[in-house]
Amino acid sequence: MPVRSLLRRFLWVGLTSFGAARWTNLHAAFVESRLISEDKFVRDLAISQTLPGPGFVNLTALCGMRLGGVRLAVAGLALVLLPGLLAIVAAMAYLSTDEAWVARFFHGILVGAVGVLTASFVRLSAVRVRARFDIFLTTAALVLVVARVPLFVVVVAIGALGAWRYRATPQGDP
Amino acid sequence: MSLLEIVALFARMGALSFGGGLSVLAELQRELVEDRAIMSEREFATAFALGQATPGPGILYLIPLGFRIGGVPGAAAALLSFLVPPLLFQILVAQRWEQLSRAGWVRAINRTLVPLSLGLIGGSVHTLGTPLLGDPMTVLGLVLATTAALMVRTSPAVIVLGAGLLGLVGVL
Repeated sequence: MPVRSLLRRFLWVGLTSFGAARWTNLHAAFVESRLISEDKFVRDLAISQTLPGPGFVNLTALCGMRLGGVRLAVAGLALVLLPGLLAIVAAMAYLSTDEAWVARFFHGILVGAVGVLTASFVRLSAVRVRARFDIFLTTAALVLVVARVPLFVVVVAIGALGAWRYRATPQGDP
Repeated sequence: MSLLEIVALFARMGALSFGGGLSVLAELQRELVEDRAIMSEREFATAFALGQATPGPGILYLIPLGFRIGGVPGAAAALLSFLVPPLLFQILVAQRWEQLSRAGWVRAINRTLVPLSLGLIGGSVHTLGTPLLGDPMTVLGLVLATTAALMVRTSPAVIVLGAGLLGLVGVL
């Protein structure tokens, strides 16, 4: 496929991606059109979700690497970021929260966004945190964050505890 | 904050952002609002809202945060220092993933990341949601938005922008 066409797909992903499952837009753009195989995409998805950093950004870069090396990864990532970047810059330039209607609008946006984030937390917890020890780890991390324990300490402590608990289990299963 | 301090802060956040860019919201708010008093709670929440109302990665809220701290260079430094180190690390790891993913300790850490990242996201929900609980209509809006996101198969953008419109007309 010509590079220009690939770049258009990255731009479309950037324009249409919202919410928690943004990776599905990458799946639609590159797997459903058979540019990347399902197996390779699933592998890259696992990497992007395992390592630190925004998973969607990481996965975009890995898709770009697969399709055209470092140059396409950089260009693809830039195009995925571009629509949101322009929208935010425009909002910052033209909307002042000193104006009452803008403040009301952003308050509503905040309520909606926190609602969507809460729903993601509830849905993922219900589906992916079922083992008792997983529930304990999630609760412990949440309590530590709320108790204002530094994030580094939370990540290291919970990470070490979980890694120790699951160290000898095949596939990491309990 | 100097540009170097911005880079150091956001690079640290990027390195700890297991589960995505929203998992570090609680820590960022503590750093910027409570410890350093660079911005108000409301300004922080508005930056988050702005990031969620626009398409693309959810971490674009870093731009208004960085801009508030250090103007255009601050915005660029915040975004790039958050994104680039994990990205480079990932590309390095990806080349050896088949070998690494067979190691027991990698599987054990991988198994731990889901509950850990969910706990961090829960912390972000607490940080952003608690200040909204004072007003009954806002609480109702929060419940409705959460329920809609759970029950209705629609884009989150519809819910976020719909809530924005309700705010605009003074319902929330």
